[in-house]
Amino acid sequence: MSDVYELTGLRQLADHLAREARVVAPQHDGEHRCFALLSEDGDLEICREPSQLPLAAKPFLFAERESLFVFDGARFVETPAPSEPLVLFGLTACDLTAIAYLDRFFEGDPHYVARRRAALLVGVDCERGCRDGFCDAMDAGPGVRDGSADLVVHTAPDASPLLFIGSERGAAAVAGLALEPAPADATERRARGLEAAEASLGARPHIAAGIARLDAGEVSAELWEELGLRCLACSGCTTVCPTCTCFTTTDEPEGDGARRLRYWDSCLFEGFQREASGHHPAPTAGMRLERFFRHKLGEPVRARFGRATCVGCGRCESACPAVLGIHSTLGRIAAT
Amino acid sequence: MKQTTPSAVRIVAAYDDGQDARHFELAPLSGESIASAVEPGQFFMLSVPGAGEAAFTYAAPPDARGHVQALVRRVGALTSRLFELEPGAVLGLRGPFGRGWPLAELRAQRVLVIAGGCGLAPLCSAVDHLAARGAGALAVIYGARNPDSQVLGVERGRWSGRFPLLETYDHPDDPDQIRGTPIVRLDEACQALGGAPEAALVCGPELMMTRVAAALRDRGLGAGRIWLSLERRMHCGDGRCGHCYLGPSYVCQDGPTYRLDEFQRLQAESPPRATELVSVHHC
Amino acid sequence: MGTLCSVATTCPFCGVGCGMALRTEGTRVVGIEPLPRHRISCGQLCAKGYAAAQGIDPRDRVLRPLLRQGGDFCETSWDDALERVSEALRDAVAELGPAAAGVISCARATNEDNYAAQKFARAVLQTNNVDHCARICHSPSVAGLRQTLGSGAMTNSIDDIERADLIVICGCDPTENHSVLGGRVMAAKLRGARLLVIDPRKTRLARMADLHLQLAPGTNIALLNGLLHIIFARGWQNREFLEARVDGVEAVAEKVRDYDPARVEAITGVPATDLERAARMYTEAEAALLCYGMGITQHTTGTNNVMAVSNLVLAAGQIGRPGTGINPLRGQNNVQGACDMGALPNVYPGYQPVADAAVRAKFASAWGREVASAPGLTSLGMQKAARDSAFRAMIIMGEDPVVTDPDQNQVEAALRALDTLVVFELTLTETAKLADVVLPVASFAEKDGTFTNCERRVQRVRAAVPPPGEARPDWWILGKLARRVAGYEGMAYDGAEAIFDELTSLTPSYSAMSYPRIEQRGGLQWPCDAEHPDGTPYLHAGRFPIGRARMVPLEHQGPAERPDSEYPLWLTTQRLHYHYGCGSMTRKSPLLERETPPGLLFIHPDDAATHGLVQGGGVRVCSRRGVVETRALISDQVPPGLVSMPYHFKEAPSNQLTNDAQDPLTKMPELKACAVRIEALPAEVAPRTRAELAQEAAR
Ligand SMILES: Cc1cc2nc3c(=O)[nH]c(=O)nc-3n(C[C@H](O)[C@H](O)[C@H](O)COP(=O)(O)OP(=O)(O)OC[C@H]3O[C@@H](n4cnc5c(N)ncnc54)[C@H](O)[C@@H]3O)c2cc1C
Ligand code: SF4
Ligand code: SF4
Ligand code: SF4
Ligand code: FES
Repeated sequence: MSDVYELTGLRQLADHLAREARVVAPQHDGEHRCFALLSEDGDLEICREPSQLPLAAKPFLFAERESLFVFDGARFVETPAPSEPLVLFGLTACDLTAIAYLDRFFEGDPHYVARRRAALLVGVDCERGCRDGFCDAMDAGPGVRDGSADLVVHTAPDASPLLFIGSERGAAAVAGLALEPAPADATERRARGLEAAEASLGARPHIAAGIARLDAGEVSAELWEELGLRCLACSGCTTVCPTCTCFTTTDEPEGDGARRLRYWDSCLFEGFQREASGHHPAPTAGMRLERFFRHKLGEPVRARFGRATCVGCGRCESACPAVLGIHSTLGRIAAT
Repeated sequence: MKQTTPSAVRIVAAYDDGQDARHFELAPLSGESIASAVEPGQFFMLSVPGAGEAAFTYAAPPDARGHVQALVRRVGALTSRLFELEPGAVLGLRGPFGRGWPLAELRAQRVLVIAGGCGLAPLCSAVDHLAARGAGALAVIYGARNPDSQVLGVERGRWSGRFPLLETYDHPDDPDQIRGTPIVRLDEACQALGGAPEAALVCGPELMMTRVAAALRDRGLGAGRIWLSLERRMHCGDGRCGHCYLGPSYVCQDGPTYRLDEFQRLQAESPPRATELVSVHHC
Repeated sequence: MGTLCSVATTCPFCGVGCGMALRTEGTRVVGIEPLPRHRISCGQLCAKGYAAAQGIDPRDRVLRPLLRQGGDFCETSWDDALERVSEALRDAVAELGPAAAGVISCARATNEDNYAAQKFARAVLQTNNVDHCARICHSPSVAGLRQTLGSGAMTNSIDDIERADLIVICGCDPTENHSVLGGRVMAAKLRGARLLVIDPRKTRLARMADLHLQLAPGTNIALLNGLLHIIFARGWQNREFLEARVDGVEAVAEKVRDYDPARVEAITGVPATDLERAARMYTEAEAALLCYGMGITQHTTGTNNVMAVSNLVLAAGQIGRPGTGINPLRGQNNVQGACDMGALPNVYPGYQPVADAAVRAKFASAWGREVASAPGLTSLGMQKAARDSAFRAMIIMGEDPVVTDPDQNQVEAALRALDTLVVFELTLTETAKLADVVLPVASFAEKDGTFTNCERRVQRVRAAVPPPGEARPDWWILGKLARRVAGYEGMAYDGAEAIFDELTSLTPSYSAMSYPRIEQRGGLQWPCDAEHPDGTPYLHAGRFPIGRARMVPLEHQGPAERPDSEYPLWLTTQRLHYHYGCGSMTRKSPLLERETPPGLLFIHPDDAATHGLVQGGGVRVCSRRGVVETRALISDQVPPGLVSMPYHFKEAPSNQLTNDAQDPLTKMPELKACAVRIEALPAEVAPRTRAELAQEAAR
């Protein structure tokens, strides 16, 4: 799909999409920013600093609390996820790459798939690198990757935004919107813009160096335990990571029966793998921290999923109270 | 789509089968379908409404009527609730999940089966299968804490006399019984097999399995000829919840049975820590 | 912005006061979002914060007023419940006078609720019988620091951790109990600040510290006097500061002469060389920030311990500047606010003394009603009076003394002796189960208001969802009762902001605050008045509220109970990262509940071996007061001879064991040191819960 148009503004696109679906976009209320339902009078202000939008749009696809089914005393009845159309508007390249991974990981999960099918993804290219991002190193940005969004908006400081159609679904969604065809050099302009964005991303040599040491098995158990001592098992890193997928289930009594719920879980918790017998495959905080980083970056996981499960958004760096985010930890690993 | 909502089954029969262990027979409620093609070593997820869901192995694959057999040891919240239920109670079942034992590869081989405690359950239908082969010798070593805690009494009764079944006990009741782990009877089992085993299937506590595997390796059996069945905490059974990880592998999908060499490669990702590093900084 | 399905508020779990947003779906809070731009938490939370959505889940909530009917509760209307409560309160007062009724307010509730509670006690019931649970955390801080400095709050700000080149952590483990603040300490350490930890336990920070003084339980004063001995002997004290701003220096210098390093080493077990190093580190630092916690306060010498810490800080002049100070880390989210609001028997809001007739007159005139003049009882005092039949009716707002107070059996006896116990609660806690009337209240997610965090910062709490069922804010209930009990209309507020506006007009240190200004400034730290309209990041810059600070000579005195041949081990208590208070909120989270098996006894490997204990094995713990059974966690976190128990678990409540011997001044019970004996339970015998043990004893 290569159709390109020029937009008068982002609001034009959002308002059009809002006619058919609820639009979820970055919103702010004073100091508080988050992805939330866009109202008619709400400001639409794209935020391209992932650490400022800690949860990204993950809860709209993989809900932090999802009802799976109810047992009514005799039968188990599925409680389907909401499937009303939803637009996720203003997603950055890294977060879209994360969603592409979630699509693959949760293939066959009825609740994820229902929410995902209902969602139209509108991406925005980044104009420049963000504070903690290293999407370039993880092949996830700063430009929205092909195939990861239905619509892509490219902005530049002194020009009208460009709209790239990313999928048939995207094309259908903008049908009926009076759009100006883009100037002939639109694709080139985008390429130049993305080059500049990429150039503005700081060099982060510790990322590649750290991953190399991890793959080479050069990180000692002692170092992991030293780092693990600091881990508070707060679950911040896994909560904000756009590719963390782990959940736990519990039953809540309801009437004569029960409801099965699932909640986000975190592999940093001691109880995550503890078995009823007391056997624990990952009994130390260092082992659990190692798990997190290997699962995000390690070679065997890359082989399994075709890419690292880290998309370089940098969120875990600011969410970790113990200074164990990706930069701190890879920096430490690279420096040892 | 993956099955996340269980099918309703009911308990049709239950009896005590070893200390703190109970044998359950489950049957689908009318109108509910449960999968019938199950390989020995696969497992299902059993929902006890209000208490949650846990993994159990098919002690016998579903029969023609769809009845499933399970052997459950009481260890925690869900299993305790299950033990309180009477026949007729409704439970939920999803499955089968995971990879079973590589029985097709073992058609005519000398196979040694080694089980510890409740580890006999995942091996039970494999033993039935192996015993029914036309060719290939079979021997089973079964270790238990003490005679009272031996499980699957009916099945062991059925096996007796058909192939060598060697038992060991951590705490024997009388002097004729053999004290120790299954390793103490390995050589005897090899003799009974009529030669060194060509394959071994092992299930029990992880530490016991690694020790048994090492003892088998010492006797010349290759890591590619030994299979283990692992236990991990599980909340989904089909590769989504993340709890059962073993390095990059999910035990519910790629296991629970692993060939020893695969297991060792996966475990190399985070080998068990030396105990002096295990400062339990709990809280 | 009404459509935001995410509402920014303040975390309800500890005194750090992190910012969080509640993500809602319909009327339910489904998730928690950290706030990257929050002044304190900067996008971080601890596990409790992330699990807050489950803690307030409407499941298990009390939805309608409940009345006791024999052994059971039955639902009733607000009208009926309020009438019964009013009648009971009127009867109690009519029969025995105002001293026979009282209110236990709540350090988890908002400032507005706490203000309403003390106003209700003083203006409506005409009694100063009002208190809250600071009694078991930091009343010695308030008592001690008011004497020495004139203010019992944290002197500096959380941000100051970044400005310190030495951080001293004394009798607390902020990485467990104030995790985000603890994270700041770890970050500062990684950036090069030095870390000195004083604690009998090898806490996480102790493992990371440049120096850990692992003192014997209950020897704080000896240790601190020992440090002062070295400081004065070497002339390391800050002479200029002492001369300009401190009284009583000579008497202290004289007193500590007896505490030579050899003697202190003998008492505390800390090597003399380490004492010397610590004294040098603290006095040499450009800016040393000291935090202390319940390891200092929960002793019979709690107030003296606090003053001993204060002596050290003053001697080194490490106060009144950025990056310094004496900083009590307060446990509950709003214990600072509950104190500020005068939910204490001896002070009105802003610590204006009840004993001062002018203060009483000021409030009487503002409230348009006579106020109580007789001194009030503390919560333990009310309990004792109840057991002596001198106290009849009690309102408890969201506290669970049955689980958290020092002596469970005494508490229960007291509550059972009341004619009427009214409990305002979210769920049927152990205390609520003893009530005659349980009134359903709104949780923090369901009401507006403010919390004051440990650094004196007043922050907004915002309603994200409506209260479930018929639950109401505490202040609403008190307003209705005021009308029924006394025909008093002065508490019929139309919202939390109206209460806040009233309280700022009567509380000098809050006088320049308002909701809009709090929102604009990301919270305001008191004193916030005409002189400091934007609040005060650190106290005591030029002068102390009492003019010159005071050093107070103190003598070491060991804990009231010491190990002996019958009870050979020290028992101390602690908290766990995952849980909060009595756990009535945090234990509803399946994740937090999974993290900590019910009840734990931390025990050193050597002691475990002596007693034949295995990791996770059942253990019976006995003291002179009671018995609990729990499971062992073998860890070198505790030294040999000391065992430690968290106090969150009703199955294995540590307060069955702890000593109710009290600090004479504040009545703070000695939760941090008593003597116990332990026995391993046979393998495969599961520990019994308190209820099971009680049943057994009955049989
Ligand atoms: C593939 C597989 C096959 C199994 N087959 C059998 C069997 O045939 N018979 C038998 O008695 N036991 C079997 N188990 C172990 C059984 O799943 C656990 O004993 C059971 O989950 C304990 O649940 P609980 O609620 O009683 O314990 P709790 O400690 O209260 O556990 C709470 C929850 O944690 C999870 N959990 C805890 N431990 C385990 C564990 N080891 N494995 C999986 N989930 C766990 C479950 O979701 C459980 O509901 C098997 C486990 C696996 C992984
Ligand atoms: S690991 Fe960290 S940087 Fe990577 S995707 Fe997750 S949160 Fe972002
Ligand atoms: S890092 Fe941990 S929590 Fe996140 S997906 Fe991987 S295993 Fe799950
Ligand atoms: S954010 Fe940091 S402290 Fe929290 S669980 Fe992750 S690594 Fe541990
Ligand atoms: S059990 Fe859920 S991923 Fe394996």
